[in-house]
Amino acid sequence: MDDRRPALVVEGVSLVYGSGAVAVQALERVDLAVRRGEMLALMGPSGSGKTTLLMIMGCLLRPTAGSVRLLGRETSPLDQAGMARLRLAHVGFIFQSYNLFPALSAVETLRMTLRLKGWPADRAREEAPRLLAQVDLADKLHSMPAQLSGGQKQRVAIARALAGDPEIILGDEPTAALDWRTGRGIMELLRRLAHSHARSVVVVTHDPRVAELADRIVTIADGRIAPREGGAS
Amino acid sequence: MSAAIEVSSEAARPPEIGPAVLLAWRNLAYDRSRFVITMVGIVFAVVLTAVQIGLFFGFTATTTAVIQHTRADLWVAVHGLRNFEIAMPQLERHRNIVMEAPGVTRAEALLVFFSAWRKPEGGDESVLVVGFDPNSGIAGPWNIVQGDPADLRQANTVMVDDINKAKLGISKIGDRVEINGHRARVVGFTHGIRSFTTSPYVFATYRNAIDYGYLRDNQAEYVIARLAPGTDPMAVKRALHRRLPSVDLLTRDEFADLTKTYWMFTTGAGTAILVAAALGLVVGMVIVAQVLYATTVDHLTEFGTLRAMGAPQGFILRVILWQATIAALLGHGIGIVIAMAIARGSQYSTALIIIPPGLAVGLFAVTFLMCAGASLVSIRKAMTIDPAMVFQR
Ligand SMILES: Nc1ncnc2c1ncn2[C@@H]1O[C@H](COP(=O)(O)OP(=O)(O)O)[C@@H](O)[C@H]1O
Ligand SMILES: [Mg+2]
Repeated sequence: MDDRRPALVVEGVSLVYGSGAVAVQALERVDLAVRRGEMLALMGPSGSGKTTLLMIMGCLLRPTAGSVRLLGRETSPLDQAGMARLRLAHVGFIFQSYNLFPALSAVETLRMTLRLKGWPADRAREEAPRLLAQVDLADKLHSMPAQLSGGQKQRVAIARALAGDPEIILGDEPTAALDWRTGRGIMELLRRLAHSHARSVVVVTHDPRVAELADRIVTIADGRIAPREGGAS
Repeated sequence: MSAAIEVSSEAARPPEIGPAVLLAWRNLAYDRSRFVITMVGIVFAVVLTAVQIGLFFGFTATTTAVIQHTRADLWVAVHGLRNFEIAMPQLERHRNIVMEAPGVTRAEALLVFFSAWRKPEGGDESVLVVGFDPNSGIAGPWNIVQGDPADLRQANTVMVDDINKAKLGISKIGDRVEINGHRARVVGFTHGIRSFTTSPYVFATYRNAIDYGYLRDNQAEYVIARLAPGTDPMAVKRALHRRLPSVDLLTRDEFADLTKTYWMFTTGAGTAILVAAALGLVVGMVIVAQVLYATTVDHLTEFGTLRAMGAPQGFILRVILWQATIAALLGHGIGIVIAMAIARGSQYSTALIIIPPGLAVGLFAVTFLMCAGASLVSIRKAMTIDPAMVFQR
């Protein structure tokens, strides 16, 4: 497999929220490609369209214009259920506020996610602790979300996003609720996971220090990609 | 047309029941106090409904107990009869006419009248004296737990039910009482023969009952008849009706229905019980609806997260329906056990509660529908949730 081939390609994407007088142009003719094995940071001020772009890349939102190609295939013909199937199989999400299931322990969360993705019960049972070990939580298998620190919660969420080995991981400000040291740990973990399994990781952030830890930084302002690009490597 | 995205066959397969059940159960049990309220609501509704309907069945059985245990194929009474307890005396010659009808093998008189029972320690109670012919075995007390029915042939004797001991102010065989001022002696006890009218049944032979009622010989509230095997009771009724146009002729089942309908519906007693049962359901349903709705709404963000992750709508639907099913199963299980215990306890009370297996099964269906119905409002909310919500805060 050619690791340089982009896993995710956004071309000429525009998005308008609402219509008429209250219409908001959140994105305007955005072009972006994310390669396999690459960790990309999406930066920009509040309201610039980062979350909107992330949702479009994750097939949660349909662009008003333009196209999104995921793993080489066009997504526009898909209906809601088709987009959901696509997310389930190929995209993992990480959220700013973790969005764990408060009633499920770490290992149960992963088991449920794997079962949801179609894994048989016995294989899910074996895989769940393995995933938690990958994010250094082998000793927290049976902890409930309320018993975990912010960084630990986010690592459970990362393990959940990794369940079923999706090619694309998308995070919306995953470190915003964490202190700098913990946030850096999360970013380093994500970068390792991107490199070791040729996953494409896109992380939205407005913190330049966090963005520095990515392979590449893309800046967005007023719904457009800023011309200058840079990165850590 | 561009090719559809390749989705692994594993991911395309609909998720099995497992994860939905796990999440449903955990969501339900997560908030302990709310879970307890849910259970109390369902258990309350199930117990109240089961006991009320059980009472209805019990009362229904009670109203017709004597009719069902009397081995008469045909009942003859003065025209206008509405129930077993309240009957008018009829002419002596009726018994002979019934006796002569083709197909009738035996006809005898049965006395049924209210009387005053004076307890040994003083004080009166109303009772219903049933005077039967001891020679045929057609009528008379059953389920005798103490005493010998042969003793009833002695003068001034009676048998009553042990459930009514306290009410009748007696405790043992040999206790002496007065019926309408006439002395009488208790020679035995039955168990479980209850009266719907609250006037206990007092069984005596026809002969003795005549004495207690100060009646003239050959009086009868009922003429009860046995038919030869294979005889059509309707044919006998038709034949008899020509000879006795002014009486009511009823088969056992017709008489049981008449009495049951009178006490349960004409008096409104049964309707009141059924209304109470329905109220129990409504109250339970309101509690359960509130709590199941709150449970779903509290976990709305999680359903949004699941949708964002790509869980199909059907998965969310299953989680919510499983919440309802688990709540129904547990609540119904506990409720029925409590109701059964109450029914068991009623064996020794004047109000019998009967909970047949069919009622328990039927109530589960009702409980499940109640829980699923209570979830309906929240199902729409959870299924149509926009997964984008989890990004926008
Ligand atoms: N659901 C919505 N309806 C209308 N406008 C929206 C909606 N979501 C976002 N917007 C607007 O679109 C623009 C981009 O929003 P967003 O993608 O959330 O930016 P960011 O994540 O960079 O803060 C903002 O002006 C925001 O107010
Ligand atoms: Mg945002």
